[in-house]
Amino acid sequence: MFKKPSFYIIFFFSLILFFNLTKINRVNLYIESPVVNHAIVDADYNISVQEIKPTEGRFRKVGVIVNGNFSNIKIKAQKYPYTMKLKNIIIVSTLFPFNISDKNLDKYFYFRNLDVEHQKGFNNINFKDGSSYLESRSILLNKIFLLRSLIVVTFAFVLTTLLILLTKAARFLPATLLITAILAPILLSPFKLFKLTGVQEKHECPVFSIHSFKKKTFQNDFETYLNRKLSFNNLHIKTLNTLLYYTLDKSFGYNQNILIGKNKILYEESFINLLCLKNEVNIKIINQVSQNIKKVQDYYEKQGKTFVVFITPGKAANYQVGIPNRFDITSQSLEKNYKAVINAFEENHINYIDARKYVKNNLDNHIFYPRSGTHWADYPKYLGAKHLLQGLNKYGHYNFEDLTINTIYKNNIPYGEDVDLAMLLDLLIAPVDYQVEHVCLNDVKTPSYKNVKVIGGSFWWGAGEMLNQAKVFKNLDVYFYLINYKKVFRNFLEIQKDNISDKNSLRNDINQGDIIILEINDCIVNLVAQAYIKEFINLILNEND
Amino acid sequence: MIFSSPIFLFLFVPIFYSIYFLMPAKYKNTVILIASIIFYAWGEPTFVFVALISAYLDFILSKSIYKSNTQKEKKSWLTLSVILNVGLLFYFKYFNFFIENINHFLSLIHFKPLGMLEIALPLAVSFIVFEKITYVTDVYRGVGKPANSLIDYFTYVLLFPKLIAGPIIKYHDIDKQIKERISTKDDIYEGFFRFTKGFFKKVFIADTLAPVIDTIFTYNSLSLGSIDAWLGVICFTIQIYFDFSGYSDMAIGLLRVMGFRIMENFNLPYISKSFTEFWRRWHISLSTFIRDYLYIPLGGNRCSKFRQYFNLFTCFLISGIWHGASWNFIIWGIYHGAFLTVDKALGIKPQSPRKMPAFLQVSITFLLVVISWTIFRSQNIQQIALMLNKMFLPQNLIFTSQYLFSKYVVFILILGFVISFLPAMQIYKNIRNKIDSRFYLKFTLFFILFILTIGKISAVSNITFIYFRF
Repeated sequence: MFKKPSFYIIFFFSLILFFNLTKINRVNLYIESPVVNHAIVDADYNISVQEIKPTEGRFRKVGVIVNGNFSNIKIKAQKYPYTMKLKNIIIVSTLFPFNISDKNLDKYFYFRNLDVEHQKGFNNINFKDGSSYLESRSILLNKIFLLRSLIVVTFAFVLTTLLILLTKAARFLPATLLITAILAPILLSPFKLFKLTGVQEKHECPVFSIHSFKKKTFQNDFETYLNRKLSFNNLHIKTLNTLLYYTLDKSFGYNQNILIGKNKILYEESFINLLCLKNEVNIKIINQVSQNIKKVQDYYEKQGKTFVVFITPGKAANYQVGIPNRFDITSQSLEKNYKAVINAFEENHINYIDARKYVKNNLDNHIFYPRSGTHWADYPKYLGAKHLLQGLNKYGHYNFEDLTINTIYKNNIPYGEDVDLAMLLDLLIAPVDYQVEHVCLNDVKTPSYKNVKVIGGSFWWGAGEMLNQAKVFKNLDVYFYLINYKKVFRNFLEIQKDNISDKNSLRNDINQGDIIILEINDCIVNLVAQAYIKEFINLILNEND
Repeated sequence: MIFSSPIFLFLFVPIFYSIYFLMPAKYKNTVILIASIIFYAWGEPTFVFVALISAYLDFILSKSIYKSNTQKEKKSWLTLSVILNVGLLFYFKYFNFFIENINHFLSLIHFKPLGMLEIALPLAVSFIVFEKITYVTDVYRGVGKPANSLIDYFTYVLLFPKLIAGPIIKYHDIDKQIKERISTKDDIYEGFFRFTKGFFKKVFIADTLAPVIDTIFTYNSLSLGSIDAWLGVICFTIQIYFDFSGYSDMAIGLLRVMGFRIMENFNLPYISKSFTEFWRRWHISLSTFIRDYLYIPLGGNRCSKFRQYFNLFTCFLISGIWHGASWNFIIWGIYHGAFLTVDKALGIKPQSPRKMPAFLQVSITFLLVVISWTIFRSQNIQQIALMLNKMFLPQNLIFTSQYLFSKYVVFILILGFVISFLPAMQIYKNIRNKIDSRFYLKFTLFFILFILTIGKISAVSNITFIYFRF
């Protein structure tokens, strides 16, 4: 084999291949910061932030991705005096992740322009002047170079050997591939190699009984269970989705509920279908529900509490540029629905805060919705939160400060809610290269100690994020769609998730609030498309269904 | 358990074929039988016993026929078998339909209606019954001998690849293969290619069009436009062909891997130039059954012209009834029977030359077949009337279902048309020959198709085969 020129030719090209594959393309810095949402970000240095799951305690762990030369990374604090902890660094290439934990950081990196006290060790970095340089030591570069060379040569050699052996054993390849394709899903099922995005209902393996077999429930449950277990097939799903996304604007992700519209703008198809409805809006039901909301409002007002309804703008109703022409949206049912709801709220004197109208009037040239996200973008979230506070001041006679922007910038690195639909497409690589806007707010001078209770859907998170970022409410509880739990935010950080299954406990918990906010999205048709509104009304008015 | 389900592909198939190929030849039929019973019991845990008992009875009756010395005795056993089989079919499939219509008549004369029974239609009952009838009848006619062993016989009846939706195989066509067969490497690969072809047709083409058709066929008179009606039936024309022929391809592929070679069930039916030709290309095993076990016993061509027309018409009326216990199937059968009778009256045969250009003949036949599918797919007579009204008396240009026709759906529909007609063209045959002669290229193409189709079945949840209700 080694005497053949073909070996050396293949080896040479393999070297080039693996050299490129091991090219370091980014560095992930994992730091902990007390800032609620974003760590230090400054787009001028081509740095962006990816938000990851928060840990408990005062500091929230976030990741910073640096595209570019990792030997000299600039990190700038946006709010200072400022403290952060550097936890670890991962140097990332396709085949070559190199992890440096916080115990070894000072061996390989050092900071410039750092407070003298904290120059050694990285556990608490205080920014006094607002910026610092993180520079790699040459020892790290040498180490990485050696390791990379070893990997390149080894892999190239193995690949070359395999290819030459395969040509000799080519006749066995089809059978091998076929057997692998059939057997791999079941044999590899315990390893959960590939995951799909989104929530799946958990299915346990059903217990066999003659009765359940006769009724065919065992068969159905077992097939569902097995389908979930065959995680290897998720690779095929992603491959198929990727092929169809780029050729035919189609994906099977999220139960085929993602509509890939013009210019790859994504929507939830169920909301587009609502938009196309030709049925007349049911004014009677809207009035009925509004009257009940008014009863809830009166109930709280008697106790000296403030109750408001917060209307958020849905993508289908307000951003129709990407909807394919085959959808007949001339009926604009959501617009009619919205107007009917506003009329009903006016007639019933409900304290409502119309974030949709405010956002549309003040958006200017900012991004309303990210291309592949279903929720509003940062700037409208800011406007919505701003208008909420204005509304609370009006209805509750409070004196909440106005929100002001510290920094606003655009880049091509979306994350979090901005990519929710993109991730749900379940492609091999999520299509997340599109422009988004990031907004950082100034802290308010005096945070409020009022107990704020929010009952709402996913559009609340955006406005809530802005309020937490600006440090407005120290005590905030969110009852997400009134599913049996609440998310507890204290001192602007999410600290826990409490399960509340008992209705009385839930009611009492909500009633402890000084301010109760009911968030409604304008895509809720007739105010009944989301069950939590009715459940909330029944819960507070103590009515049976 | 359907072929395009993960449990079949990743649990049943690997276990079955592993055991099958490891077993010595004399036990292979036992393995098939056990697997077939499990396969059928998975979908019909109760009816499987009925099927086994019924099949056993036919085994005994066929032995009795074979051993009988007199024609009269043979005929008695045959009659008993046919009555039992047709009775079984009638009870499970037609009893409630019969009672429903009786009740309708009783309501007209203000009589109390009869009670209906809660009878679930077992999967594949029509196919199983028809195959058993062919078996017993062939023994009666002396065309073939009864199976030597009970295992061989049950293997034939319950052979799982063709159990649920055919093809309808006659015992004497595969009796030699049941006793002895070899599965070579070529059989395995060809079986895989054939299975993958059917898998792709069913999962990508038929299943993609299914929700579009289901939606259009729920439209009422106000929502349904002419464009919707035409697109709905055209989609169904493609769906039913790919659903059924896809299933047949999978069945043929699975059997080929075991070493069985069975008849083709479809042969590009939409390129037919007449109804006669259509039925020689569509569900060939059914039309063969009708010819051999209905038409010929009724007299076939060996009687007066009027009687021939009557026989033909009756056969297709029965074929319509076989497809379902509903008036639309009966009308569909009558429709086909009528056109076949016209063909016969005018002397139209597939091979006979005609003045009309081939393209026009194909188009007219295709159009008439599309209309027949409108009848077939509709839930009731009112819907047939609504669909045909919208198709042929266009009143407006509303296109309610436009939103359903995404790029993906349109692509699949066009692909369906291409696959339906292209194989008849020379260019396709040339390309196909080139691919067939290059094994690695062919394998790569089919393997990619296989993987992509697995991706789809994993991504979506169950869609059942159309012919499962027969």
